Amino acid sequence: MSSWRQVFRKPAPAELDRELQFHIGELIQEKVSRGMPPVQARREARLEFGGAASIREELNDVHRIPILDATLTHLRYAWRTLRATPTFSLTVMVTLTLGIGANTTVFSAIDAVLLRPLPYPNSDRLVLIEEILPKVQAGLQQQIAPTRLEDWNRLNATFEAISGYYTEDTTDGTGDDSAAAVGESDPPPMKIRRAYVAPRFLQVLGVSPALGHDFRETDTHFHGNAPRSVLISDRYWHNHLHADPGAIGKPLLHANGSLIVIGVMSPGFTFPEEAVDLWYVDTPDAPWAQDRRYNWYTGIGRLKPGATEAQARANLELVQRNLARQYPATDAEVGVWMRALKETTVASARSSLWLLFGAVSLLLLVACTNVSALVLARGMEREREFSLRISLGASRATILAQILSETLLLAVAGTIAGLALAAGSSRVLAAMAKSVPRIGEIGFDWRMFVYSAVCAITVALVSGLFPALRASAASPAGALARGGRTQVSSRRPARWAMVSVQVALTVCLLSGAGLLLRSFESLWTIFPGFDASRVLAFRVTGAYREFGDVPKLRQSFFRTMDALASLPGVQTVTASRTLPGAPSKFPIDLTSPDSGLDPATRMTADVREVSDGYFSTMGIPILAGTPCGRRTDGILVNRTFVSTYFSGRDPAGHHLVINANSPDALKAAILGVVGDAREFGLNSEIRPTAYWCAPVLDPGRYYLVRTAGDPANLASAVRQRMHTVEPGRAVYDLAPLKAHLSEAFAEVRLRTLLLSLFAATAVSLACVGLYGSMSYVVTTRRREIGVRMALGAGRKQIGLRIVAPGMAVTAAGAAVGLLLSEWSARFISGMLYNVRANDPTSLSAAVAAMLLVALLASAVPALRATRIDPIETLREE
Amino acid sequence: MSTEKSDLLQGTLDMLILKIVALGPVHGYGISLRIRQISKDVLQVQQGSLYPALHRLEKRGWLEAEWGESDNGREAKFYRLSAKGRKQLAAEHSNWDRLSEAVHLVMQTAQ
Repeated sequence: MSSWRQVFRKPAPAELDRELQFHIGELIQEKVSRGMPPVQARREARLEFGGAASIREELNDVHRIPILDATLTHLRYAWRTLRATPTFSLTVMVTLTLGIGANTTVFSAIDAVLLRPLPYPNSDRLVLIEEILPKVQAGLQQQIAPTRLEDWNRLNATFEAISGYYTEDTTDGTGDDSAAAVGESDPPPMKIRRAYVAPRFLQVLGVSPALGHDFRETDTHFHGNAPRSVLISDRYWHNHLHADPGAIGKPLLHANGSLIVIGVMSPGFTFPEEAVDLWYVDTPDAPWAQDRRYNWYTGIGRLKPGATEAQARANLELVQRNLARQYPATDAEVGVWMRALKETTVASARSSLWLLFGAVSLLLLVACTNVSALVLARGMEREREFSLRISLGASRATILAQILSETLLLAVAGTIAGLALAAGSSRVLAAMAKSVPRIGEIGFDWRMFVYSAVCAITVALVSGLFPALRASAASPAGALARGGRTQVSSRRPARWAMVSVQVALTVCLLSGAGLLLRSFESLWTIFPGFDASRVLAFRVTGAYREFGDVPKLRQSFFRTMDALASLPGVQTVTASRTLPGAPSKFPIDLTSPDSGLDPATRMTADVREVSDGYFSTMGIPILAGTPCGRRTDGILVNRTFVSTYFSGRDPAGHHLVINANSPDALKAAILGVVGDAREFGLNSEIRPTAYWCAPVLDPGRYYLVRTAGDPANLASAVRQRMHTVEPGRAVYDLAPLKAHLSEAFAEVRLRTLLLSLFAATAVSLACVGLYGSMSYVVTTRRREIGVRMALGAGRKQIGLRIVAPGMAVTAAGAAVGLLLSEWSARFISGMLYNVRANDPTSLSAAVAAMLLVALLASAVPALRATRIDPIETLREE
Repeated sequence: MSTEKSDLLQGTLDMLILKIVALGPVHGYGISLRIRQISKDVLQVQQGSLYPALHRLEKRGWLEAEWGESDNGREAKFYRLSAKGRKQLAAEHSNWDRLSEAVHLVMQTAQ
């Protein structure tokens, strides 16, 4: 028999009645058997038994659970009290709604991006694999050659399977852009992103199509020009195939019968990228896939159950060492690089998200202190009430429970409102933070409920406990004796401490926001070494397969350049593999055998592949030598390169070898020197850079068009011209370069914006807290002020007396806040550009803003104090 | 003071109930009847105290209750002493012995 069951088992009312009825029945029978007439016996038995109702009542008392009852009573009482003071309750609720809402929103993002496992079964066993060339290129990883990928998959002992993928942009559904027969009058083709995957792709991820089936064995073998199988995204299925289940097994409309749909992926499947709409399986036995020097796969692998990442790495390295013996010419230098798939997916967003989480946690803390201060103030107003209740026999625990249930009630209300806020704002966040990986996975689920519930309880305890302890320690005699005729001294150190804590936290948030704002502003105000204005940038679809015919590719490339250059309003045209100014990294080791430099000197430079006309289009000055031309094959270096590696000597005429030790080493002459430009990210330091005048650029290249006027005005003309010249290709990402760059820094902008928003919220909360405290002071000191005025104190003096302590507390808080900012600056120093973490401008601006707000918040109550009528207050006595 | 008196009575009632129930399963009416009979009508337990006491003792786990048929064939709730109740009864019994002994001694000396 468990005693718990005994405690909670409550007999049904009917059962109690039956028990009592039996007793009465026995009494009647006893009397009847003694010879009493039944009617009289019944009456006497009832009289003797007494009121059944009162017994039932007593029995109910026996079965009542005291704690539960007390809690209900407390909550009911708290509800009545809170309803009696709507201003107080509303202020607290709004404060908590903001605090908890912001916190839960950021948590939902952290949960979706960082905490939750990737949306594949046993996704902790998924790893990303690439090649590294430790001797050629320390730390630089590269894609995997298809035959090598097959070898790794076949020879390892620690993976269930290894696969790989690469992506490219193409035109709508067509197998080959150049082959597409499209008339000039047809609408321009749409861009579509496709992924080429190695065999076993879905098997590694552990998913299957929502409709149809995975690639079959025969799909993974080369069949020349036979139709190929393709998996399509749910989005493509809806937009282009009207979600027709009969599409499976049929050819894609626009692909000239070359593609057969075999399956539709589920809507949530976004691997390797959200934008991918088509998945083709690549055939490892295709003739072009046999050269072990040409690599294009990013590898993914699923570890066997129980195998660790370290074991897998060691195993794969062993496999590769054996391959190196087998193929010394191509595999000797190749090593294995491996990391958990989730880590490689989300690492970029981690610091931003935790920064925001830190900021909203500070904000919640500000909200807590605010509520705490408000509850504290109310506790003082209610001192008499509590004293009365204590002297009437209430225990201190009762008072404590009372105040805690009030804050709990408020916290719960704030949480519900906060959850509603978070539900809306997490959707807004997901829409704004498109560049953050996995942000689309934000969902409103039980974790958010649990998290905000934890928030609510924490808030209730943090903000309620201290005031509750103080109030329950009230001495009944003291407060009652004072009788509300308030004393002169109303020094409340605890209250002021709350205010200064708020100020300190707010200053910390403000200075963080200030630093990010200054840093963000620097991105656009500091001249990056190239001219991004009046440049229109766009891309054109193209396939890697076109590299099979380089002369034809070059021909089409030059035709495009010429067609664009002849457009009215266009000054120059060029192309670049990456967008100038957008963050990217492409460090390559170089050697220069004929420059007389110590051969042991390791030269590392970022390599940019650019075409004819690049420097004039981007406004980068040629300091010496000649720029790239259409027929020239050479390298230009920037000034930093020359000063770093050539000690300022003219490098012209010497040769540089890119990837010196690798089979596809590339040797080119240095044509000249150009000015420094921050092309690898507006916010990165200038590094030694080598511009390679590439004979032909990758399909994903950007075309850059310098215009005479506003580049946006030329967009439609460019689109039209492209449609005429290259009707089979789609033009996309068409926008002024400045807009592209703004997009490239969207995450930086978002975190700056959000941090500023949180700081502003903190300021307004601190303002409310300060105002509340000052108002309270004025209210409780009415009499004292009246007396002072009656004795001849001037209004200015009175005002100062009110404002001065508030400002002193603010100043103290601000000083602590500065120390706090100094300490917390380490967390954002990595995100700052052109601003140091202890930047005096940001810090002093934060303090000044805080002091100004504090002055405003205390001016209103101070003004009220100066308007106090001495006669009236004295008469109140 | 009145509270002490009622405490004493309540404690005593609990002990008496436990003692009666220890003799064998019995319903509420039977308990009040037996206390009356054994005490030769000196002790009359009010139903208003009997049933709350029974339920309290059941809740503490000293009594176990079960519905069954009474002598005259009607359904009644029978109470039985639990192992825990037996221990409690023993403790209260010895406590009572000491107490009444002490009271007795005091009263005799006072004579």
